[in-house]
Amino acid sequence: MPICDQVYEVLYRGKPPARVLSDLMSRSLKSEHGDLLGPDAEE
Amino acid sequence: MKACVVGGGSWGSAFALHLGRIGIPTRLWIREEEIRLEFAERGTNSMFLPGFVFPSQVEFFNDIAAALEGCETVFVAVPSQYFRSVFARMAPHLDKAHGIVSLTKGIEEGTRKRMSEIVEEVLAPLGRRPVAALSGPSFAREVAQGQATAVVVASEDNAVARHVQHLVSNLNLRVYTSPDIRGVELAGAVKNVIAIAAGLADGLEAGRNSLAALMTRGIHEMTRLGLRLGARAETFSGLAGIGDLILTCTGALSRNHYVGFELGRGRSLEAIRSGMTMIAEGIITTLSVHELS
Repeated sequence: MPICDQVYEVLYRGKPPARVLSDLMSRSLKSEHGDLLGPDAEE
Repeated sequence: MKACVVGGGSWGSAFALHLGRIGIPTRLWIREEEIRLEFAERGTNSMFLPGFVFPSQVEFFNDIAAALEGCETVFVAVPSQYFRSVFARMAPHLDKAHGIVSLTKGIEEGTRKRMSEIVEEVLAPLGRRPVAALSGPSFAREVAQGQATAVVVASEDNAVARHVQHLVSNLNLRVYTSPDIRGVELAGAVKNVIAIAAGLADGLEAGRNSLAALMTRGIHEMTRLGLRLGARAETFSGLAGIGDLILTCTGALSRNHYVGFELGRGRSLEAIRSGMTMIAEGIITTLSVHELS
């Protein structure tokens, strides 16, 4: 839940909002629907 | 047929206004005595739904027992953190003839329960009964204005969902049914967290690409959480999911988007909250989602 986690960090951990998008954009690269397709799907 | 709406905030008030307009005698229970007095004098609720005069079919009550008496269907529209305490006050005055419909979009802090789960838990000693949840893209003010709106009512009992559908639908409010109450409630709650993120991006002037990415990946997160908690994937591409997400992330009337926007502009959460008369459910839901994830 990366987006929800970022909102949690801003609301409850004092994370600067300006860091939210850069942190989301620097996550590891994935396939778009891999995590909805089950454990054997390509990441 | 009489209905009761419990909770005189903007959504409860707008829903009671809608019910009254379609000819259903409706009792609106409100906590604040000053609002009841204003309604008695002027037929308005200027604190939560300014600019609208309620039709004669709507009455305001402070006494929950009196409000519920003789009502077949009860719509509950109180903030999620007060839902259990208000519903516990209602329970002694409910019998099997009362149908219960939640209008609240949130998850209870601490227990991480959906509103229909709270209803079932509180009413368990009285015997299980079907519960429904109504959700979807529906700014209170636009419903009060009679703007065309589509929502979904979900219940594990299709007869209950269909009853509510036929009870509240008219040319301004089109109601679809769904068997996936779990998905409808989760979607309606979690989209408020994504709306805060969208507001953050807007407050930071991040641009339309960023907003589209947040909304699309946001519905993906909502779907993934829902599937893990037993909801159906298709619910998240429906009115309670992507429909409400679009509205909440792009509409100027969203309290949750407003919270994110102001945070993005540099204001503190405390300052933002202190200036709001209405509750942004996403702030509390963020805690619950964090615990669920």
